[in-house]
Amino acid sequence: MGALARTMPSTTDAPAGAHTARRPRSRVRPRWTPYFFIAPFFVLFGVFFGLPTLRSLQLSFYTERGVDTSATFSGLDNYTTLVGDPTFYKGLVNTSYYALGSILIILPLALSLALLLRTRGLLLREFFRLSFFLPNAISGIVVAIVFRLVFDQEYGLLNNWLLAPLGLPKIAWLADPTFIMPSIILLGIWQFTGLNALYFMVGLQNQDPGIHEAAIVDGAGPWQRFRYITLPLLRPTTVFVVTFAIIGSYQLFAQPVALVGEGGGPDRAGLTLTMYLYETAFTNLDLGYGAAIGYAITLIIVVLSVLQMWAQGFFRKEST
Amino acid sequence: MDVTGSWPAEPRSSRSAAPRGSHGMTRRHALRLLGGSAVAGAVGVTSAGCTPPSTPTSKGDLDLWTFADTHAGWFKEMAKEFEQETGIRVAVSLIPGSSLFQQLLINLKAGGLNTPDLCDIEQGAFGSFLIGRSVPFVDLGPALRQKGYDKQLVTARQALYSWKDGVYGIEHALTPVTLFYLREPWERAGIDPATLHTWNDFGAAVRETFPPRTRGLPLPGHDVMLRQRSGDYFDGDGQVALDSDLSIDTMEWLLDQERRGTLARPPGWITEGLNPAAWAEFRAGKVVSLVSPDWYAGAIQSQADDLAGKWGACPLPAFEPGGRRASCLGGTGLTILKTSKRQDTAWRFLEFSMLRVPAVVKRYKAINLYPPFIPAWSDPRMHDPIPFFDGQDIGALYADVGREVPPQYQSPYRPQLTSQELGPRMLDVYQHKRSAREVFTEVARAVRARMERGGRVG
Repeated sequence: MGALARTMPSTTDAPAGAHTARRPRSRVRPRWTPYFFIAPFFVLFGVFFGLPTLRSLQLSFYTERGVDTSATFSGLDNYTTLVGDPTFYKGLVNTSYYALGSILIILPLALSLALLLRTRGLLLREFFRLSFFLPNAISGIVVAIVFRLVFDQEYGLLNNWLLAPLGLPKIAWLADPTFIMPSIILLGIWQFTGLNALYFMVGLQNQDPGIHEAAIVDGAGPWQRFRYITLPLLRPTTVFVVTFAIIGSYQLFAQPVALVGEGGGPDRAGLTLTMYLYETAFTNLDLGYGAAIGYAITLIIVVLSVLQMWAQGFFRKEST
Repeated sequence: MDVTGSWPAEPRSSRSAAPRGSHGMTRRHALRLLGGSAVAGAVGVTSAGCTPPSTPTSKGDLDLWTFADTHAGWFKEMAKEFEQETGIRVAVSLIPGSSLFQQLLINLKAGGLNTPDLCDIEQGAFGSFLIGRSVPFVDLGPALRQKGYDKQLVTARQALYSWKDGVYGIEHALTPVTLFYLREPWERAGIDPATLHTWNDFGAAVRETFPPRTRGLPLPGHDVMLRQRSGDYFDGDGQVALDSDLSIDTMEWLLDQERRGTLARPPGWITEGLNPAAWAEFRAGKVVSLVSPDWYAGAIQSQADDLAGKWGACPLPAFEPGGRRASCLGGTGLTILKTSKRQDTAWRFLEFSMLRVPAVVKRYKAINLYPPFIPAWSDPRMHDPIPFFDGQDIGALYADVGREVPPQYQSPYRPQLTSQELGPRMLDVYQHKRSAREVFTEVARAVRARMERGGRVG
């Protein structure tokens, strides 16, 4: 064997002149099996989400109204119409009203509930956890239909069991524009507080109890521990919960439709942005304009989500 | 060579390490097969979801969609008789509520996939189908004129399914709006409501004869009273007429009659219509009549069956002496889709079920829809005493006022005007927060703006 054999890399320590190991492969053969397994999800995602999303974006730059029509390119017409549409702004105000209620009422309630459910020595803890989470497992339409009875002005639970015993006058919860959105928020409180409490409970469980014990040793009181330890450590969970609350609020549809009808009730006080999108696209068959409304909703959700993440310091680099 | 002098074993590759089945398949091969099957399955499911369901394959079969269970029951009876006579099967599908219209719109928008041959369209939803380049329903006008049916149908009712000289549906019901009254309080007062020829007479009788807290009837709908006065939300050319002087005056008249004590506003009446609290007012004698279409008798029976048999019915008082004494409310038309490949057969079924006296009479008996088909009015079976009305011959009343029923004009923007623009604002008028003129003008302006954006047929 000449010098060439000596210089050839070998996978074993065989001496020169001995039988050499197999040559390493000059090209790694791709492994297709994992792709086969993840392909079904991506195929279905592409067909039922990706393509419609792109098509919808395209449609928002076209005019397409009615059954027997073809789309004609109209540039930014749909978006300029949107900017001057009072009904869109009505829906935006209503939806933002609900979102504020969701964030300022539901989330603090959920956090309080989570803290209560973590109280040491609480009896029937699992029963309470299940009870508070169950409303979220019920369909929104079913909840809304039941709540229609609760909000009934003459015979509803709220007027007859809560207000009347206190000597207060009956309220037209679903007929008075002033009370329509508060009614929807009340429904949201009942249905979604438990789910958000669950998220906070997970966040609380992941906190190191040693930090709290150290704080106690240092003489920190309960409020100080909550304010300076629990809340900051809960920030990732809070960002998650608030982001989903924003998304859920701006996508609210089933509950207000079932409570006050597709039109949003008197003075359109219950009209949300997604209800307006549905009415425009599927009742009025103005598909191009409906698509533009859809993308406006998407933009609003993205902007608000990013803003709240920034406000909570999500993008701040932690100093090392 | 290791220290023992034996050659080292060749390095084991994963390929050679894979366990082998008895048929020689490696684990890698098995996983690839599984993955490929998963992909093929996903593609297959997706493709299956994209193809329309199979339609009836036997020759001459028809598909009919309806949204009302009463209509579905009657159509199934007609389908049996039609099949016995012609051998053609008609499949009747019930799709409740507004889901039917949205499903149909979406299917038409998808190029006519899985659309029926015939479809019931409720009058409030019909306008949505007039947006686009053409109406998706067959123009039945030529067939109606050819066979003389156009003279046998109440023309005013056909206006609901007519657009730009085309007739696109056959109305199921005349929907005559008359005065339903509770016999006992009126008999106690010594007044026959049928003798009150004008609303002024009616108002005077109620205020002067009944106890102070008793009212003649709950506030009737503005559109019903406007049509009694030969007005409507749209005119015959499809132009908005909501803000006309007649329309505004009618609304102001209603509110004035309430203020004067002729008309009542039972709890929940404006937002819910008849509800348990409103029925309590009837039972307590605080309200003694009701402006009602014929088809609402069934709802009254189900909501207040204790009052069944205590009602009478008579023509509405007119707004002026000799004036119209009926109005109309609601309606459903049977249409034939242009996408149907069996339009001639569909017409045969439509003719069989909607334009023959025996069929129309059977429908009246089954679901209490007084027909707009005039030849049926003189059939003796249309004059049976009705227990709900204490044995009154209601057929005679409806035949008497039938030709007076006013037209209700259709428009592509009728659904948008009534439910999206006017409906949310109407409460402000009833609560005296805003005037009728202000609200109606605002709504009319909004609808005209939508019309200017375009989209309607013609």
